Amino acid sequence: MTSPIHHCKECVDLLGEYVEGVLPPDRAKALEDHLSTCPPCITFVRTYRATRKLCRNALATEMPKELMSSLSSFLGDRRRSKTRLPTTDPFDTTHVAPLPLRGGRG
Amino acid sequence: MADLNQTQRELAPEEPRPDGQPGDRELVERAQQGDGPAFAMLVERHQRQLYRLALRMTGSEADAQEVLQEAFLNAYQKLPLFRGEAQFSSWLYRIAANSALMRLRRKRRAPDTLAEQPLELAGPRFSAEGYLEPASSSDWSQRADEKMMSGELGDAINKAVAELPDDYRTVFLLKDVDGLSNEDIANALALTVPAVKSRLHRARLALREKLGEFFDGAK
Ligand SMILES: [Zn+2]
Repeated sequence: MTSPIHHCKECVDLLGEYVEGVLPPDRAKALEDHLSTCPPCITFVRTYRATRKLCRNALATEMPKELMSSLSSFLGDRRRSKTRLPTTDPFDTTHVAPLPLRGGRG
Repeated sequence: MADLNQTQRELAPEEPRPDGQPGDRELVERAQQGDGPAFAMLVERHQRQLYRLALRMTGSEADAQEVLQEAFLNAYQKLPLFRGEAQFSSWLYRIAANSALMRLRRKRRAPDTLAEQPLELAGPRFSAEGYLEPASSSDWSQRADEKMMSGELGDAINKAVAELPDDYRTVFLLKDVDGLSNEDIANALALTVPAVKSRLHRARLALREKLGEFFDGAK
């Protein structure tokens, strides 16, 4: 069933799934067979991977800590101003009891 | 038959979490019964990914903050309507994505769509026979490691990403930078999974070209 890859274009079309490791094994094999005979495609795979890595390093971001606390106090305030559910305030951390761990039961 | 399997899967007990904490489904049920700390725990668990989604869609930290507030408030109010067969995280993503879209519309900055924007994304050049043109294959990947964190490279990356059409950029950032799954992205942005994959691949190809130009210029 495996049909060989003759042209770089087919190889490039499959790269997205290949670098994520989700290409079906027969297509991955065909792609690697093509790579073994095609230096331009080897370079292409390397730079395609490097693109993802560089962008991830440059653009990765974390939610700022201040935003987490302002979110929780915002939600707490809104909850206090219009109570919908009969409950303790979910965002008042002084009342948050530690939740039981699953493993602790048996 | 397929339906039966589906039902069986939905009724199966929730996978235990590696951290030993209760799963989303259990927390949702508790929150629906008025357990406030359970909802606070859901917020704590999902706020980081939701923040990334909001930030990538709106492009601004201030907007992301407001989207997050609105989304969690909405989720809290709609919680009684949430049905357990859906993933709670997917449901949250939809709520946050809608909130981000409304905000963009109010600012008259609705995302570009393919229909409005003829797409000329950069990509590799092939010969008529389908072989890579030599210009498409200069190998800068080794130098990328050395130059990893230079300011100029950072600027070049930011510029190249900013030049992508909105939905390509959003998909790329959510997947390759933030690590969301294709399914979550498709769900949040109301795209099909194949549409997500195709935007992702084309965005990477365009960025690869721009980075290639940067490294060629920096020799
Ligand atoms: Zn090739």
